[in-house]
Amino acid sequence: MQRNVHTPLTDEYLQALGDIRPAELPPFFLTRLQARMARERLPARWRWQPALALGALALALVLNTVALLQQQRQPQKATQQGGAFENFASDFDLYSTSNY
Amino acid sequence: VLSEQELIIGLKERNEEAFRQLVEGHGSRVYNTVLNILQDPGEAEDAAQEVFIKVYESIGGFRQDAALGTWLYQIAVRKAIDKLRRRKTRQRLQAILPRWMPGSAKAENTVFDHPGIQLDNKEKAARLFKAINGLPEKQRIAFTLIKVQGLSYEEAAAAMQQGIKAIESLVGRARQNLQQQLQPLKNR
Repeated sequence: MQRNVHTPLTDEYLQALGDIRPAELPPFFLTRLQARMARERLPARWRWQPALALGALALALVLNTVALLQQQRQPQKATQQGGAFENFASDFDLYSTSNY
Repeated sequence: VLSEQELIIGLKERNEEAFRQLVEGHGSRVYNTVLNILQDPGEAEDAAQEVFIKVYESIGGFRQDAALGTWLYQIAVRKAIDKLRRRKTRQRLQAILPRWMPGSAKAENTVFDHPGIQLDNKEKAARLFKAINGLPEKQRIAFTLIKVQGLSYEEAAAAMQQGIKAIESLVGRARQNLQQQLQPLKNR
């Protein structure tokens, strides 16, 4: 049986551990553990943050592009509308200031 | 004080009081298990924290085939093995790239001063710990759990998830290896 191996020197050294007391848990172990758990839970939230940031950036870009396009279209419409009015006015001589 | 069953239910419900009771009830044993195996208080605290984080994360899958304490020992032993392996990898890397890895020279050459050993026995105990440090991984863990930690063969077998005969064999071989390692020290 392996439990009865003859190893006198090992046994002699093992006697030094005969009255070994358990080491005490480091002070504030629970506090440090809880702090670590809170810290390690953060990355899970942080993992979403780049995605959210990118999403918000993309949305802002889309909104800006739409706003720019609309701004570019509006003067064209205005000039188109303006042109139509001018044509209409000149056709019917509405610009005439003469009094009858 | 919660019973083990209430404690498990509380942990599954993420009850803070149950977690506090778990750490207060088992913290010392978990810490001493990893400390005795790793022989490094800093690494041992880190490993002990990881054990409780693991419990918190995986309590939902705990099937209660074994007692909560046995499950904790199993996790503690696995964490200690992980740390030992990482330490070995670090040491191998350091041997190749010593300049690039400063500050990681540890364990093999440092003397472990167990805080629970009486002053007159410190020198002998330090020699023994150094010799234990040189044992193959499984022998080191089995021997530490039984001879240093004071677990029974049955408890050590459960913690290491091995049969009792395998543990007996590991401890026997560890004793013989230690006998050889300690012989030159005796002759000095």
